[in-house]
Amino acid sequence: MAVAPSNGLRFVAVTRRGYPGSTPFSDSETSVATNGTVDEQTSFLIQRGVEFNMFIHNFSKKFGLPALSKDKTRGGFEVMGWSLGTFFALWTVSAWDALPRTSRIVSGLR
Amino acid sequence: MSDDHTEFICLVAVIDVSTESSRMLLEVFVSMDDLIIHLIAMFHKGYKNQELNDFVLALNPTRLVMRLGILLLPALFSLAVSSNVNFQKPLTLPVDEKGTVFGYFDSGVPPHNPKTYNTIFAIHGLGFTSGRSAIHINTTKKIVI
Repeated sequence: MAVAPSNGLRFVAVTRRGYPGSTPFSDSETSVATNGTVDEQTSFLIQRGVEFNMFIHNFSKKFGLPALSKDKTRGGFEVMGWSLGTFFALWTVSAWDALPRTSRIVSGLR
Repeated sequence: MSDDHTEFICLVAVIDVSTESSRMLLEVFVSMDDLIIHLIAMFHKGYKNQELNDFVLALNPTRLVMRLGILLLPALFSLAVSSNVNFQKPLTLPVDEKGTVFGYFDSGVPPHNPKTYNTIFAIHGLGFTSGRSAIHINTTKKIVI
């Protein structure tokens, strides 16, 4: 994170729900994850992806992130995860269908 | 067991698996409750890191790590927060109208290309929260689970 600005990058490290700084899962959400039907659990996962998408959307809106250039060499953004975070990165991408097509996320992702 | 909490946190932090499928994550929720309770009980009984590690390796590590990552480890971090462990406080941003917020650390706008920079959104794994060292465990303090 410390070397990102000097290399022309903005690095935003997002804290997953349940970890300090982010909202914990509610009892009902935990219950669905534990005892829900397959459909309910699938919805649970999609919702996690939607949340990350909305974070990116709101962050982009708040700070006016540079849009992806036409030649796709400048601006825009990327989503990455490590270890278990890769799940959440994949869910972020897979939840796009739940987003407005005008979303900054769809237009800005590299 | 004054310092054993550190070993326990490390235990659950170092186990890693390759990404398989989202379905795997769901399957573990039902079956892992007893195991988690058992692990905590072992911890309380004074089992050391290697013994706990052997126990874990005898199980299905993929399922275990998923469960730990979603439910147990955040709980341990929360316990740590309330038990004399210093956390760097992240900024927050709402993600829905129900008041759900995500914490985040932001490196800021690059000074040399403020209009054309690329942004990377990074999502952390099991044992470490985002960005730079977000957690600094004081091993001289005791966490009571």
